[in-house]
Amino acid sequence: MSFHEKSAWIMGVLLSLTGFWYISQVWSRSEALGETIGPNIVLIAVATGMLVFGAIISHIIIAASSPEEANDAEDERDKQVLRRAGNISGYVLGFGIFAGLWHYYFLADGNMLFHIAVASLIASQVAEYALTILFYRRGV
Amino acid sequence: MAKRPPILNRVKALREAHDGMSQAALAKEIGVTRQTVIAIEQGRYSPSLESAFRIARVFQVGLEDVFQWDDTAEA
Repeated sequence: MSFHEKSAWIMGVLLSLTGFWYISQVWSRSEALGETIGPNIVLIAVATGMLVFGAIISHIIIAASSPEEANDAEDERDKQVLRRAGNISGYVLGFGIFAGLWHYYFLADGNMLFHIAVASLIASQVAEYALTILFYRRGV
Repeated sequence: MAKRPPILNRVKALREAHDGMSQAALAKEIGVTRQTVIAIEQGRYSPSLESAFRIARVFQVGLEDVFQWDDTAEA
């Protein structure tokens, strides 16, 4: 397994966990309040902090376990895999934003628009990591 | 779902016939990662034309001695 594929696995798992935690926090606080909570910078900062901390630690570990591969630059296959995964994940983001805008158009809930945009960002990034792994394994 | 490219290759056979050249050594010669050489040998990735020529030059054979179109894959 290449360093890029290991990195995609780690980032996919970390982002899924932190994303799930963030969305569950927004959900439970909104239920308690009886309406959609506004953008919460503390929640976002904590989720981002957890993600960055986990990413740094895990990348140090995989780089230490195979230092030669960690130093490999992206080759033509890596670029093709990452470009294709990024292209398709862009549709996930676009769909989420589009759905959020229509939701806002009908219900005028700006807070929900914010959360849908954040959730779409998380979903598209997780999709990108999942597709990266798929293309590395099944071919581009 | 990613489709397997309709191109066969003899990279593994040529590499082994070339004093048992390692995948890592071939990867270094042509400027890709070892995982890419593995993917080429397993038919999961078709290299760029430049890399294909580089592989052929390493083994000092023609391009079609390394890569062949898989007619059966078109059916």
